[in-house]
Amino acid sequence: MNQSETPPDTTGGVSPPQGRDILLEVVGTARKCTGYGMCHLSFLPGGACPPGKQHKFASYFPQGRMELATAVVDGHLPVTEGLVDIVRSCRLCDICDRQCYFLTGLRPLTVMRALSDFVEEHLAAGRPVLAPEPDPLVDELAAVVGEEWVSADQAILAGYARVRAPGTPRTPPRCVAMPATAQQVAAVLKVARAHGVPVRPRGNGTSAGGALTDGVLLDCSRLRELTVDERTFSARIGAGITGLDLQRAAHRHGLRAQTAEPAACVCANILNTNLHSLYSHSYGVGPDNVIDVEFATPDGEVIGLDDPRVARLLTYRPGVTPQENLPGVCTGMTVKLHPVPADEDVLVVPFASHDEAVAAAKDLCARRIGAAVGMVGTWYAASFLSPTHTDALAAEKVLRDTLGIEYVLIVVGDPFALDAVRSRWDVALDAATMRMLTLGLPNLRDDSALEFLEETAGDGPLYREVFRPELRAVLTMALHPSPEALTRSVDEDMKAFFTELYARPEMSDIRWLTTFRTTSARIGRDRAFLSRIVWMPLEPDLISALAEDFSAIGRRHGLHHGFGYLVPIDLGARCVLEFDYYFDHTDPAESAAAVRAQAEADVVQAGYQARRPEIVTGPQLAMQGLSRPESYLYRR
Amino acid sequence: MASTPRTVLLTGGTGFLGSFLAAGLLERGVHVAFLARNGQERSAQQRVHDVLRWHGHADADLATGCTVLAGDLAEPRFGLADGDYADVARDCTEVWHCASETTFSVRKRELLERVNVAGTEQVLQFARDSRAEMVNYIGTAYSVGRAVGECAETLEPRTQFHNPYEETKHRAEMLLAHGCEEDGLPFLVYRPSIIAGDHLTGRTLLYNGLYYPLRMLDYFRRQVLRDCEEGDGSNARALGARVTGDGRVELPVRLPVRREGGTGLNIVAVDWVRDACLRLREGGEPGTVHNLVNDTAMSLDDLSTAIRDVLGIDGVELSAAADADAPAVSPLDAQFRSRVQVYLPYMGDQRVFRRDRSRAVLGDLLPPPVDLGYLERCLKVALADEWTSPLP
Repeated sequence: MNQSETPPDTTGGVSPPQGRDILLEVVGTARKCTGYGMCHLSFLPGGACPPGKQHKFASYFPQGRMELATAVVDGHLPVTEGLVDIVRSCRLCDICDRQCYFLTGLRPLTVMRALSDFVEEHLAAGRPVLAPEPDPLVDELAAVVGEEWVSADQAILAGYARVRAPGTPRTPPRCVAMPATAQQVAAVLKVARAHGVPVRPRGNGTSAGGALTDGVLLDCSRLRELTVDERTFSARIGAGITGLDLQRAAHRHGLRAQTAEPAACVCANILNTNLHSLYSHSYGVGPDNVIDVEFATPDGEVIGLDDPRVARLLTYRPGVTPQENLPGVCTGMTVKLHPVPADEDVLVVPFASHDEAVAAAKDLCARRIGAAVGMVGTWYAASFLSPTHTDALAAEKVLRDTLGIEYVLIVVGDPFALDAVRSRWDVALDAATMRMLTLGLPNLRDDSALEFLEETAGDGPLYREVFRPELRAVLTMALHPSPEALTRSVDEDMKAFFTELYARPEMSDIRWLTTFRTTSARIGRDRAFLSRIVWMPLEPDLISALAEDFSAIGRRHGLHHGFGYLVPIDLGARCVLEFDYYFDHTDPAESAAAVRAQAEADVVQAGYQARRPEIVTGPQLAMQGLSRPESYLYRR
Repeated sequence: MASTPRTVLLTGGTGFLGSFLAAGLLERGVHVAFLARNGQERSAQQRVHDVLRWHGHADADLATGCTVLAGDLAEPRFGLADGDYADVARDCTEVWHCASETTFSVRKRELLERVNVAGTEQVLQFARDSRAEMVNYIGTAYSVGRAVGECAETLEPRTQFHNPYEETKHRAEMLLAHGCEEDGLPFLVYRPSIIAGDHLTGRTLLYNGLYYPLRMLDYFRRQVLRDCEEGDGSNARALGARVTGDGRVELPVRLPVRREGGTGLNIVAVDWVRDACLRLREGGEPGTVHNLVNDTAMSLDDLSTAIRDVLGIDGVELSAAADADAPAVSPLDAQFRSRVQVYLPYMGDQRVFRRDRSRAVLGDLLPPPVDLGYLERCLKVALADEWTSPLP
C-alpha cells in the first residue's frame, strides 16, 4: 500500500481547536530543525533521549518529534497508534532542550509539550486513532527482524519522509525495518526483492541528500557491533555506529579513529562522502582506513572485500549508478585505529591572508608535520567556540574585523611537530591560550584593551600585537576567562547547566574538539547549509578563484556563504575544500535561491573541471566513497 | 567685520568641538545645517538631536534652529539628493568645516585620507557651489608636523609628520586654502592644540587622543584590582603592579613628558576654543591662520597629583622624554610605554606655537590655564562617564 500525499482527515471532520492551536504556536520551532541528528547521541552530560535510545526509530528522537509536529500541522499525519505511543513515551526530561540549544539555539521542549497536549486532547475527545493497514510485506519483514522492529505506522514513517536538501519532495516510505545483524539485512533484502519493492538503507540521515524511498527504509541503527582490537589497531563496526561512538571507543583504548561528523554513521559516511577530516593529513581519507567492508546482498549473502563484487568498489567508476555498483547494503566495516602519542598537543596559527594559510597547510602536509592539519575560516572558528549565535557573530567580528584573523590553521601534533610550527610562525596559540580565548572572548570584545591596541599598534593585523608573549598578563586580565564569562548570553534557565558544562576541560580543548567535533553542527545554527565539497590541487590561486566564483554566486542570490575549511591530503599535492551556502530552509524563497545557487555553482565547477580534470566533487563520489583516492584523484 | 550669516553649513557637528560650535552658533541665532552621517543604530537626525540635548537645547529649539542633512562628507555632493544639495547650496552663506578623523593610528590611514582629505575636497567644492561668503576650517596646531621650535601662524608646505593624522590635516588645510585663494573665497584657518573638556565642568564627548594614556592607567588600575580581588593576583604581579589600599593600586609606570625646555602637553578647553573661533570669525582677517593654543603648559606636578588623588594610582612617575629609551621599570611599564609611543611627540613636544595673530584679535579672551582643578574636573567626569561618550 502506498502512502498518499493527500492530507488525510485527522479527526473525522472536526479538529480539537485548542490542541491544534498549541501546535501552531510551536510549529515554527519545529520547522527550524535541520535534521542534523545530534539528538541521537549522548554528547552532553545527561545522555540522549531515553525513548529514542530504547525504541530507535527516528520518530522517537527529538528530531523525529519535531518532524511529527510539522507533519500534523501540514496535514500529512493523522493521529495514529504510533503517534500516541511516541508522544506518551516522552518524559519531558529536557535533555533535548539542552542538546538542541547547545547546537542550534532552539528549545524543542515546547514542541514536545505541545504534541503531548494535542494528542491527549484528541484522545479525550474520543476521536479516532488509526492503525496501519495490513501489509503482507510488513508481515514478512516482521518474521525476519521481529514485530517490534518493523512498522508501517504513519507516525514512524513520517520520521523518514524528509531530507535537508531543499526542493526534495516529502517521501514517506512504505515501511521501516530495523534489522540487528547482517544476516537479517540480507533476509530483508531478499523479502523486499521478492515483493519488487526497493530498499533504501539509512544511517542517521545526516547527509543533505539523505535517504528517501517509497519502498522499504532500512534503518541501520541496530547494527551496533563495536569491537576494538588494540593488538591490530583496528575496530569492527556495524553500520549503525556513529563517528562519536567510534571515536569514544577508540579513545578509551588510547587510540584515534578517522571520523568526520559525530552524528554520521561511519560506514555511511565513508560510502557516501569518502570521509575526510583534519586528520586526513596523516590518516588519509575514508578508504585509506578501511581494512574490510561487509555487504548483505539481496540473494541473502553476506560478503566482504574478498568478494569481487565488493573489491571493485575500491576503484572509482565514473557514471555508474549506486544500483549498478553496490552489491547490496553495507552492514559493517573493519577500520584502522591510530596510536596517539601521550604528549600530543595542539597549536592554532592565525592568518590574515588566504594564500599564506593555504601555503602553510600545504607545507606542513608536504613535510608530514603533525597528525591533524586543517585551515578553517573565521566563521567556522567563531561558531565552534560560541555558545549562542549572537556570541558567534560578535566573536567573528572581533576575530576578523578587529584582530584581522581571516583563517586559522589547526595543527595537532607531538612536541616535535609543534616546535616546527612555532619555528615557522611567530604567532601560534597553544592550548592554554585557546582555552583562555574560548572562555573569555565575550569579555574581550567589550574590553578597552582592544581599542587601546588598535589605536596604538603599528601596521599589520592586530592579532600580531595582541598575542605577543609580553602581553600575556594583559590579555589574560582583559579576557578574564571563566565559564560564567562565556555563557553570559545563554538563556537564563540554561546558565547553570552551561556554566557547569564549560567548566569541563574538554569543552575548551581544541584538540579534543577537533577529534570529537561535538560543536561542528553550530555552523548551521542560524541557517541550514549546503556544502560544496571539492577535491582539488592544493594551489592557492586555483582555490582562491574557485571560492571567489562561489562567493559571487552567493552574493548574486542574496545568500550567506563562505569558506568552510580546507584539509591538505596527498602530501600537500591536493586538498579537500568545503564551501557553504546558508539558507533559511523554512523560507521557500531562500530555499529556492539555494537551489538556484547550487545549480549555478555546479556549472561553474564543471568549467573548472573541464580545464582541470583532476578536480573531483562530492556528488561524483556519492556512494563511491570506498574508492581509493588514487583511482579518482589521479585520473587522466 | 563680516555680516552675520543666515545659514551655516556645519560638518562635524555631532563631534566634540563641532557640537560646541553648533551650540554657540545656535545661541547666536544662526540657522545651522548639519551635515551628518546616519549611524548604525541612530539616524543623522537622532545623532544631531542627541548631541544638542547634551548641550542643553530643548527639542523645540531643534525644530526651528537647524536642519539635518543625512549624507557622507567624502562623497560627491555629500551623497545628497540633487535637490537637497542645491537647496542647501542656495541657502548657505557660510561654511564651518569641523569634521575630522582624529585617530593617530597608522592602521587607519585609509579612513584618515577619506575623511580629512577627500572630505575637505568635497567641502571646498560645496563652497564653490554655494553662496558662501566665508569658509572656516578647523585644522590642528599639529599640522606643522615635525617642526622644531617656533611655529608661526602661517601657511607653509610641510613634508615631515609624526603620523597620518598630522599629515592628512596639513594636506587638507593646504588644499582648502589654495582652493579658496584660487576661487576668491574668503577663508579662515583655526589650529587648536589638544582639546579637552569644558574648563568649568570638565565635560567632554570624546575620550580619545591624549585621554588615552590616562584611560589606560585607569584601565590597568581596574584590571589589577579585579585580578587581586577576584583572582589570585598573579597577572598583576606578573606586570609588577599591586593593590595598595581600598581601590588604590601601585602601577610602576613612567610617563615620558618633557620637563626642561619645550612646551610639554599643550591643552586647551573646548569651550574656549569655541568662543575663540566665533570671535575670530568676526574679527579675523580673511585668509589668515590662527593658533588656538595655551600660553602656559600644564604643570607636571598637577598632572601627577591628579593621577594620584583622582585616579587612585601610585607609582606613576613623570619622567623626561629623553628617558623614553631607558630600560622599563616593570613589565607593565614596558607595555605601557609601547602603547604611548604614538603620543610621545605631544608629551615631549618641541614645537612652540606662536599665537600673536590670534592674540591680537582675541584680546582678553585668554585660554584658561590647565591647572590642578581643571585636571581634576576632567578626570572626575571621565570616571563618571567610564571613559565612554555620554551620547546614546
